[in-house]
Amino acid sequence: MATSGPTVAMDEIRKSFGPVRALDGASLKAYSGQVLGILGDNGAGKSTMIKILSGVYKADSGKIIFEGKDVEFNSPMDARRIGIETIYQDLAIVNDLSVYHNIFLAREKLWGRLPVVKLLRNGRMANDAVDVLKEVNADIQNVNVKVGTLSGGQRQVVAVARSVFFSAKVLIMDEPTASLGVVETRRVLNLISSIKERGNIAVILIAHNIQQVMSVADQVIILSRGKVVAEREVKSSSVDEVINLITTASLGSR
Amino acid sequence: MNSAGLRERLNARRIVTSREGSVMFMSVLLSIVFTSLNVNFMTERNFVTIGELITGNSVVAAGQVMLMVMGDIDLSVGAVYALTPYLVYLTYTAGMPMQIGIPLSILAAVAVGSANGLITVVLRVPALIATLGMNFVVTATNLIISNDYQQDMPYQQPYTAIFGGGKFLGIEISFIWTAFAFVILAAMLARMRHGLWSLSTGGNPAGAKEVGVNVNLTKVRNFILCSTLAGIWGLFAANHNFVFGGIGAANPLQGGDTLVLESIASAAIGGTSLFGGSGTVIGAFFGSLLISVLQDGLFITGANAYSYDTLLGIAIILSMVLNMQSRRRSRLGG
Amino acid sequence: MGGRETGFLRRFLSLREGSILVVTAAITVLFAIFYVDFDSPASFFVIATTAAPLITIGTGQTFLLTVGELDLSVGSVFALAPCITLVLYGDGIPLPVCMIMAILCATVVGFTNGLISVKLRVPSLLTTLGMFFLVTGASLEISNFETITSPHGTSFEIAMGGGTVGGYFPTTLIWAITITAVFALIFSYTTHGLWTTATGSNINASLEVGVNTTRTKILNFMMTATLAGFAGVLETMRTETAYALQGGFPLTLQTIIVAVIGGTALVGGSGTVIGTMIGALFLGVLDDGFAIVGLNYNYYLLTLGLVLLAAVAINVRVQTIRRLARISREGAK
Repeated sequence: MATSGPTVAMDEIRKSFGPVRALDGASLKAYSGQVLGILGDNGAGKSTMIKILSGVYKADSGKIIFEGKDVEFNSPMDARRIGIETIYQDLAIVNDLSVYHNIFLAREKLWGRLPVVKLLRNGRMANDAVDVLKEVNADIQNVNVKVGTLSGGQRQVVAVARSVFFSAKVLIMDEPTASLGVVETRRVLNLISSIKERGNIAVILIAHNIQQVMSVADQVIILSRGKVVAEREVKSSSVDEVINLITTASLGSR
Repeated sequence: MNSAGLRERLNARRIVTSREGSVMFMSVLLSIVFTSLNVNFMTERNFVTIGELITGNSVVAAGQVMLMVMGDIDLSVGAVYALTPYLVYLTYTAGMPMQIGIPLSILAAVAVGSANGLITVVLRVPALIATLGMNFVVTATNLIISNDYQQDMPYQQPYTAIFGGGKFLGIEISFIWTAFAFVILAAMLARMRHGLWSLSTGGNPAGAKEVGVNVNLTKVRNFILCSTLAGIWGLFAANHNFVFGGIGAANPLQGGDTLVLESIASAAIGGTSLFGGSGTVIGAFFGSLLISVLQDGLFITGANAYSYDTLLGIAIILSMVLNMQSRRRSRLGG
Repeated sequence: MGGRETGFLRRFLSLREGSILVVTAAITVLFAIFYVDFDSPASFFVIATTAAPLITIGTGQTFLLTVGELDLSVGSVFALAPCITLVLYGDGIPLPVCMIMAILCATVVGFTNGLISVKLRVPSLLTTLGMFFLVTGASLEISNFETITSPHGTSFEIAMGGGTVGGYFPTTLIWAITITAVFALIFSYTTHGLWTTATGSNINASLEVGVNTTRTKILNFMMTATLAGFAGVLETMRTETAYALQGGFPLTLQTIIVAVIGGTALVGGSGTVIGTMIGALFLGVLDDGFAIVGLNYNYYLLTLGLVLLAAVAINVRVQTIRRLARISREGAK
C-alpha cells in the first residue's frame, strides 16, 4: 500500500509527431510496491507514454515528477540514472554473453581503479548475479551459461534482475509476455509478483492480454487516442469491465 | 515498408540514377585532364584499349552487384575467369569440337556458381568464406589441370570469333556482348521478378521471406549468374588476341585476385553498398568505366605505377562515403 | 535450467577451439608418422615463420570479426610499416624511432578505417578494400618500388624479429605468442573484450545499456592495423628486406582464414584468440607438410580451400545446434 506519494507521476503529457497527436493530456501515477497496468487499443499512445517516461522522447508539454520533484530527461541515460529502468521487447540482452555478464554489462565490477586497464572481477559479478537471481525467485542455476541458451521467460528474468540489482525504483515492462508460451508467461508473471513483494519498486506494465495484466496489477489506466479515458483499482473492477471500457473507447464517438 | 524505403526501392529499379551520373561526370572530367596531358588519350586506338579494360571488368562487376545487393559477394570470379578458357583448350585437344567444349566449360562455371550458392544457403557458410574456399579450389584446379603452363587457345570458326576473337561491323565482338549484357541485366533488374526479389531480399530479408520471396533460390541464382558471366567473359578475354591477328591464350592465372578486387571496386564506385537493397548494374558499368579511364590515362600520361593504386583507393572510399551520405539523406527525408 | 554440457569430450568439442585443435594435432601426427623430416628443427622453423605473422595479425582480425567488422587492408599495412621504417632509417634516423613512427602510421590507418566504417557507416569490407589500394600505392611511392635491405646483427635487431633463440626458435614467433597471451587476456578479462563481444553479438542491445560501441569498434580497427604494421616490421627484420608488395591480398585472406577456422565467427559475437593461434599453426603445418612431402603447392591450395569450407560449415552447424536447443526448450506456445 502506498504510504506517501507516487514514486513517479506524469502530468498532462502532450506529444505530437508532425501532424499526428500521440498523447493529448495523459497522466499516470505509479507507487512503490504496486503494479500499474497501461491498457488500450493499438495506437492509443501506450508506447509513446513509456518512451517519454524512459527518456527516449521528450514531451511537448506536461511534467514528469519523480519522488516529488520535477525532472527532465534528455536521453535514456538520464532516466536510468535516477532509477527508471525500462525493459523493451528486445530485452537489451546479448545472446553470446553469460547471464552475469549481461546483468553487469556497461556497469561491470573491476579490479582497482586504474584508468586504462579495466580488468573484470568475474567471480564477484557471478556471485552477485546468483544473489540477485535468488532475490527475484528465478530458477536459473548456472550464471555462466550464455543467455542465448535460455528460454524466453528466463531471459526476461535476467533483464529484470539487472534492473533490480541496480536499484531501479521504477521498472517499466513493455509487452513482456508477447512472444512467450504458457509456462514462460507464468514465470514472468510470478517474477512481477516477486518484484511487487519487495515493496520498493514501482512497476509499470504494458500488455495486450488484459487477463494477464489484471492478474498482477493493482491499478490500470486505459488510454485511447492519447488520453486516459478510465482508471480503475483492479480489486474493485473486473476483466469484463475493463474490456468494455476499452472497446467503448475505441468505438466511441468522434 | 515506409515511404522512404519504398522510394529507395523504386529508385533502385530505375535504370540510371543520379549516382551513375556523377560517376560518369568524373570519368569525363578525368578524360579531359588526361587528354590535356597527352593528346593521344583521345584517339580511337586508345578508346578501344579502354573498351577492352571495361569489357574485362564491367560485366563481372555487374554480377558482383547482383550479389552485393543481397549482402553476398563472390571471391571466386577470378578463378572461374581462367577456368573456362583452359577447359576449352583441354576439350579441344582431347578431340572435342568447340560446339561441345564451350558449353561444357560454361557448364563448369555454372557448377562453381551452384557450389557457391549451395554452400551459402544450405551450409549457411557466409558468402565471403564460401566463395573464398571455392576460389582456392578452382584456382588449384586451374593450376593442376594446366600444370602451371599457359597454352595457346584453339582456333575454330565461327566459335572463336563469336566468343571474343572477331569483329562485327568493325567493332570487337566482346564490346557488343558487353553492351548487350548490360541491356539484359538492367532490364532484368528493373522488370523481372528475379530482379525485384534480389533487391527486396537485400533490403529486408526477413520481410521479403514473409511476403513469399524465395530468398534462397534468388541467392543461388545470383551466384550462378555471377560465375557464368565470369566464365563467359573469361572466354572473351582468352580469345582476345585473335582480334588483331595474334593467338589467344589459355592462361590458368588469367583474372585472379586482380579481377576479384577490381570487380568489387567497380561495383562499389558505381554505388552498390553491401547493405543491400540498392545498387544498379549500370552503376557497375560506370564504376568500371571510371577505373578503366583512370588506369589507361595514368599509363598513357606516364604517371608512375603507384598512382593507380592510390587513386583507386581514394575513389572507392570517396564513392562509398558519398553513397552512404546520400542514402541517409533519402532515408531521413521520407 | 541453464545448458551445462555434460561429458568431457562433448564439452571439449563444443569449445570453439576444440575442433581446430583436434585437426591440427591430427595433421601434425599424420605428417610426423609418414615423413621423417617433419619434426626436424628446420621444419619447425618453417612452420614457425609462416605462422608468426598470421598469429600476430590474426589476433587483431579476431577482435574485429568478433565486433562484426573486418579489415582487408592488413596485407598492405604489413608492407607499409617496414617501408616507412627503412626509408626513415636510410635518412639517418635511429632504428627504434623509425619503427615507432612507422607503427604509429599503421595506427593512423586503423583509426581512419574505423572512422569511415563506424562514423560514416561505410561497410568495413569496402572501406578497408579502398584503404588496401591506397596504402599499397603509398608503400610503392615511399619505397620507389624497390626492395630495401634492412640492418641486422645487433641484439636490438635480433630481438625485433631478426633472429632466433637457440638457433631455431624465431623471435617473430616469440612475439606472436606473447601477443596472443596478452590479447587473449584482454579479450576475456577486460571491459574492452566484453564490449567487443557484446557489440558484435547485439549492437542495439549494447547501445541501449550504455556500451560505447563506437569507441570499441574504432579501437579494434586501430589495434588490428597496429598489429599488422608491427608484424610487418618483425618480418622485415627477419627476412632482412622490405618490399612494397610483401604480404598483400593473399596475406590478408590468410589472416581471415586462420581466425575463421580457429573458431571465430564471421558474423560477430563469438571469437577466440587462442583458436586463431592454433589456426595459424595449422596453416603453417599444412604448408610445410605439403612442401616437405614434395606435394605440389597446388594441392596445398586445394586442401586449404576444402578445409576452410569444412571448418566453417562445422562451426556454423555447431552454433545452429546450440540455438535450436534453446528454442526447443521453449516448450509449447
